[in-house]
Amino acid sequence: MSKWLNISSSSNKRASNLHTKAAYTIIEQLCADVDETLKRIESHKGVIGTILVNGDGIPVRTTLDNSTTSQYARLLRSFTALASSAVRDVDPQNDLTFVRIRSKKHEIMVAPENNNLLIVIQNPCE
Amino acid sequence: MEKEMTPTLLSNSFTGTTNSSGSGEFKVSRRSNQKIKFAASLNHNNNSDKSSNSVPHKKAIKVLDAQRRDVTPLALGPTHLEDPQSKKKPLSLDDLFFNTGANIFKSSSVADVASSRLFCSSFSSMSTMESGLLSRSCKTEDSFPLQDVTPPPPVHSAVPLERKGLPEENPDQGFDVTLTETDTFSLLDISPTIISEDAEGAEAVKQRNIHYAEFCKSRMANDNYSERSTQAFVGEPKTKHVQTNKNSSVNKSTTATSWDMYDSLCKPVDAGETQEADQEDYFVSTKKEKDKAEGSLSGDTGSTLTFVVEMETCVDSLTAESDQDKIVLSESFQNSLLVMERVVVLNIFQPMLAAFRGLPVLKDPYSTEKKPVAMEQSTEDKDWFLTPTLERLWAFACPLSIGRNITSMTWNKRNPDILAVGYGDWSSGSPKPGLVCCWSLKNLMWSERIFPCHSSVTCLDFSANNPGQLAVGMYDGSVAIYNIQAKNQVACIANSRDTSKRHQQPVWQVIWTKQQLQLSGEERDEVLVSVSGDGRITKWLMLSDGFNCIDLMVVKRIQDRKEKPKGNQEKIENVLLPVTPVLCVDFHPTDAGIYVIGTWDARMHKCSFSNSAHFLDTYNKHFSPVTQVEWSRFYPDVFLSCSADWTIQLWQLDTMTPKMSFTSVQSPVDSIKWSPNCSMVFAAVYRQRMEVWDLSSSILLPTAVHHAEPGVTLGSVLLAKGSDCVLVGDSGGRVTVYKLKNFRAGKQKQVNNLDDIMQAVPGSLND
Repeated sequence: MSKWLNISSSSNKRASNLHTKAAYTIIEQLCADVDETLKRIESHKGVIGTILVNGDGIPVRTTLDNSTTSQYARLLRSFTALASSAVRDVDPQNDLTFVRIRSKKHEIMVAPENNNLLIVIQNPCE
Repeated sequence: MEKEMTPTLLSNSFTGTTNSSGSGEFKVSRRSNQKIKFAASLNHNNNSDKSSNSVPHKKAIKVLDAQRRDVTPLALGPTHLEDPQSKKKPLSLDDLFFNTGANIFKSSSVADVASSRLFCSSFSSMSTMESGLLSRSCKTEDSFPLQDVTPPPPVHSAVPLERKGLPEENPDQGFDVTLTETDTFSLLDISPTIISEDAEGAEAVKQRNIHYAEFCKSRMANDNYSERSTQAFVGEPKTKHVQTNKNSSVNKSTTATSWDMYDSLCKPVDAGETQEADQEDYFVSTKKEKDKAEGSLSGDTGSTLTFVVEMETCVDSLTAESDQDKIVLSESFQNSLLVMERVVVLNIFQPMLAAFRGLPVLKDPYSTEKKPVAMEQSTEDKDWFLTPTLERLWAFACPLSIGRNITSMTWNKRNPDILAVGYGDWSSGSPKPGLVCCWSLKNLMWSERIFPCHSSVTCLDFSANNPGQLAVGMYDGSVAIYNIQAKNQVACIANSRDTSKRHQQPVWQVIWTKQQLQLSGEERDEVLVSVSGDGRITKWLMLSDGFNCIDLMVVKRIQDRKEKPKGNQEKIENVLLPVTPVLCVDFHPTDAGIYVIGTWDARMHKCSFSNSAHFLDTYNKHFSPVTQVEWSRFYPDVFLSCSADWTIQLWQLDTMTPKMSFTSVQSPVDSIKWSPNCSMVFAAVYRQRMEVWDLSSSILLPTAVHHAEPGVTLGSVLLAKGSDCVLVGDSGGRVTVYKLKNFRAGKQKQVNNLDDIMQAVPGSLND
């Protein structure tokens, strides 16, 4: 018998509360979303570290130590450049979207966009 | 007394002898009479002849002219102290330049004017100044241009002076000297003659000339003549230090790749902008200027590897933050984040997803963990005699959804990887706000779309024509359409909350159905139909004035003729009684005008889309509310129904009694779903268990049973197309995916036709 109940007034109140929930500005929301996503990625199983490198090759955000970070950033930058050049040489309208390097111990994933790099190192078999 | 002054040549007085002797003598150059008074000077021994080397006395001689002005000729150098009468020589340029205190005369051989004076360090000796004489000479001669130097008045005596001794008794008295100029003595006068070579006597003249030349040559040896070389004055070079900025050199090289050329063609002409925006180069450098400069080269590839520079690891915090914000807000970064997350998750779940898709699960050769695979592998070889089992693969769960009761699930019609799950809970009396999550198989750990709803979600359905549209039915009777391609508030396209004719009771099912409208020719338009607890079956349309609905039918409670009326109610056919809630609906797969509904009254009605007044048929079998009706996609006119009376019935369209009936436990059946892959398999969910029935193997018992964990009740079930997996949603907010293992072990055997099965059942299960 509980399957249908008359609509109570409380549900109406709840509706209005939900509307006031979106009090963020758009940018704040965006930043929060992105932050959240990054944190989620970092907390996935087997993820060793994430590095965000800006256009100058300087690591902007990282979860690894400094020396490892700079090493990864430097090496992967040139590697990604090489890969992108290879892709675009064949067809200039094409472009590189993702690079995955699977090695014995772990996998390095690089997402290049707009000269920035998002690097994630994961060991999926932990 | 007159001083004896003999004109003597002074040409040698500068020839290096420090003791310049003799009296100075000037060539007679002009006539002037001047009286010069000489102050007394005692010793004139040195005046007598030029060859005597006598030590001069130290007494000075002063010369005064008629007006008693002191016209004592100034000595040019210290050597001339001894000889006041040694007048100035025809001044050479050297004297002028170097008499500024330079001790030239003293330091070097006076004779060699050119070389010695030039190359002695005249400046070094500048410091040593002789006494007043030199300084006086400095004063007066500094300002003298050469031509202004007036030669001192010629010392010339009208009368050859006798060399007498000076009166010594009063040296200071002075005596007058009168100088006059004589007439010009002509010493030699030869008038030149020129004759032509052809004239007579020319030979003689030539001979004479030759003689004369030889004579001159022979006279060259004469001591009176000496050859002297001179040198033009050359300014002394001066060292000057200059400093300039070093021209820095930068190595530049480029490789013209084909994409480089393409980019140059396509990029805007403004070079300044391209340097900023064209970040084609991936050159690692520490300076932004360098980056920009190389950006104009638009990237070098081969050379970058050789020029990789060590990067600074210290991060300027301010720039890093602003960089981070810029990066973070860019859309492509969010895209990359999305892809990255998916990739990471896929890496983790790769074996499970491979199993889901029916791919062989490969073991990672480098993985360090040991899997107990050996056992399973051996058992899998024997395929025939194994019991079908369910293997748990993973669960869709995220922190937002955990704890919420799942009420409905549906796959997307276009993209079979997208799953929409509706959450809602009304069991506690007051309904809570619901949630719709769209999960993707590519990201099993976080739902990519989350839409909060103001009321508990009871049912979902994806549209087939517009695959991005998801219809949501809610507990408070509203129907909403969400566009899942959008991310946030703009996703809700339509909401019936404000519509006047909306449902007042919970919407129990929404379904998109393709109807052939008159207006459209071949294209079948889709119509959203909802059934709700207020007995109405309504069709929803997006009209110009909003989201509105039209009632297809209102299901009223009817009393069966055969039923005995209770109480005082009369037996009246089709008595209009209060409406009965409609709990489920499903449209015929091929003939869209026919649909079947299940009601609270335990009845099922076959209705027509166009007929809103009457039912076409009524199926009576159940005793309790019919909770789900579903047509089979493989067999026409066959549908399955389940109800709270613990049974599942298999019906055929025109048969008023069910063909088959399935019962297993004494628990209400909440939902059933046909398998989209196999015509004989369906899944049913009870409160505490989920069953998968494979009719080809058994019609009496479910083939696989899954029990819920204690504390959770299972709410919804779904089977995946193209894969042998079943999804179960429970009240804990998890959608668990199970793989059906060892199912349809009789694949090799002939697959029984459902019709055969139905016919094989003895009789019909009539009551």
